[in-house]
Amino acid sequence: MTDDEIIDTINRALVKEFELDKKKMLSDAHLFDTLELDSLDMVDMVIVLENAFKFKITEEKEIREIRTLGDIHNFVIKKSNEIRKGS
Amino acid sequence: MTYDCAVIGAGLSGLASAIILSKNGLKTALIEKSSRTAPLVRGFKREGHYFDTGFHHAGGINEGSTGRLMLDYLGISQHLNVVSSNSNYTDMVRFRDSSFEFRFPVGIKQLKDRLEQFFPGDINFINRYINEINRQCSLLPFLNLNADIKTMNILENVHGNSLADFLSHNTDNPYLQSVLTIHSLLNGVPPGEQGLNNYAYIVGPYYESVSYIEGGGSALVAAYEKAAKENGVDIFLNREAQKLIFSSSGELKGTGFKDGAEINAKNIISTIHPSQLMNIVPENLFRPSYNKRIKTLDETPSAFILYGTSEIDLKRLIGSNLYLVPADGNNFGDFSNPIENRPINIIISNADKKENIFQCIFIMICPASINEVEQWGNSIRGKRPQGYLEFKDNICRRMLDYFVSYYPELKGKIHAVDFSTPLTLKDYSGSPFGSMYGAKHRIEQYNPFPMTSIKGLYLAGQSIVAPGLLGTLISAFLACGNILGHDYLRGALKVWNQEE
Ligand SMILES: Cc1cc2nc3c(=O)[nH]c(=O)nc-3n(C[C@H](O)[C@H](O)[C@H](O)COP(=O)(O)OP(=O)(O)OC[C@H]3O[C@@H](n4cnc5c(N)ncnc54)[C@H](O)[C@@H]3O)c2cc1C
Repeated sequence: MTDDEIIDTINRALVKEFELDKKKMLSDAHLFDTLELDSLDMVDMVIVLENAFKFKITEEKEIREIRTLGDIHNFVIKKSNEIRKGS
Repeated sequence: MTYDCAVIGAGLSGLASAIILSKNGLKTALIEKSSRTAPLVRGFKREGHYFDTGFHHAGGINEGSTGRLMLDYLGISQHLNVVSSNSNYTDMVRFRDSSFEFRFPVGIKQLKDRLEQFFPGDINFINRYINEINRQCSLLPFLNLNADIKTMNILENVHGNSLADFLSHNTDNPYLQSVLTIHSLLNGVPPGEQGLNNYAYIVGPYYESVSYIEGGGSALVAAYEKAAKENGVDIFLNREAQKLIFSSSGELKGTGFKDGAEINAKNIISTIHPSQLMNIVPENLFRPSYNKRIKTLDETPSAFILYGTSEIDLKRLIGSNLYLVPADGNNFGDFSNPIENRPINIIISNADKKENIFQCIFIMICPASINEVEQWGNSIRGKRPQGYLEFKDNICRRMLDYFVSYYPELKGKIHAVDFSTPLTLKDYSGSPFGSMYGAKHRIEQYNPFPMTSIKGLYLAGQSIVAPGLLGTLISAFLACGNILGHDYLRGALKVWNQEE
């Protein structure tokens, strides 16, 4: 998957599972202020990402630091790269 | 009627939650659909004997434990006689393929010593195992009042090692593996799905001390009810919450019943099965991802339960709590296995004298799936078809035979007085699936948290933290902590502890 495909997959999954407004899905969109998610949604976000990318997320600290949609994109891109290198 | 808080469901979690809130000055309504509180743990009488159902004994409520501190704080212990383990009241594990048996001592240090004595080849691992159980328990807020509530590693735990993996990587001894996995029966999670952290929450307090309550589950509920009344909780029985009500601006307003009556409360703690909560909230209240997660939570097993009497003194023969381990070990996740290949828990309750004939009372619990009785699922209690009754008789007889195959001296001396199947549990337990302990606390599953994304709506109950008396107490303190403040509530417990 290219980075753009990853971003597209993330955005589509989040729009569907969290009923988000497609137009607001910009990298600098703040999850809490702009997209109106809250900290409790983070567990479901993790599950959505795990299902979409078929990997397990154990990086508790990094997940807790996520604030914007772009942070999610970067997290998944980084993780996908690591997995690709590892395998 | 207007309250500060409403608690839905008056099981052990709901009763505890309502008492905490009321005690702290909040006007609280406790709402239960059954005609009595805590129907699951009340026990019943048959042929003149009292049988316990959903409460036999518990870990972590002995003198000095956090669980006891909670019961003290709630004003419950003063109405109870809690009898904590001594050498006569502990667990025993017995194996099919040899005369090998292992009796658990009282105390975790003593357990370590005994394990080392029985399994000298595994001393290093035993040490690691015990340390790991202690470490996990120290991380759980409310088991350890000083643990930091914000630093629980949720993701690591969900994707953690299973108990079975942890053991199989570290020891080849099948007896040791069985001894260290047998308490999986207590939270209904097979060892291959059991996370080490969740297992530790169950066995940590349990290894330390097991207590029973004089008068059993029925005395336990009576004490909870007394404390609820003393603290001013208003209990509404025969009241099924059918919907949550929201104001036009979207704020939680209360809960409503079939006849149109309502209870207004800005804070609601739901202790019903989380999947049932989803049926009483407006459809779009939660996001689709949360909806899906809660509705598809994997359930703990159901059970076949035999209520029996024995002409032989089982207390003397066995002790108080026996686990029969089949030849293949403790895996009870596969219900295509005949019952003879499933581990079984036998609880020996107090002896009775009836018409001057000695009778010892026991309860046998065999994990089962609701699918095993699915074909009779639509029949009505009291009017079930002949096929079902024959099936029941057959399993009942085989369970007695199972017991006898481990203790041949019991042949002809043990008798079934009553027998229940997963259909019975479905009728009597709070779980829509007839499961014993609600949603499974297993690896790779995210159970719901005590807080929800809806302001004022909180969750407590066995599906949230852990099943059992201690699990429901902790879940109640966590849910109420969201309303009263966690630091405040944990502080109140600590102060209570010092003053006592
Ligand atoms: C066979 C068996 C043996 C057990 N043995 C032990 C033991 O020895 N020790 C131990 O500690 N634990 C034991 N347990 C576990 C323990 O009984 C449970 O974990 C505990 O009772 C669960 O309490 P709860 O409040 O979470 O749930 P529940 O007791 O299920 O409470 C939920 C309540 O909500 C009510 N309700 C549901 N829907 C609504 C609605 N819409 N409106 C109003 N009310 C509603 C239900 O009627 C129910 O009373 C055992 C369980 C079983 C099945």
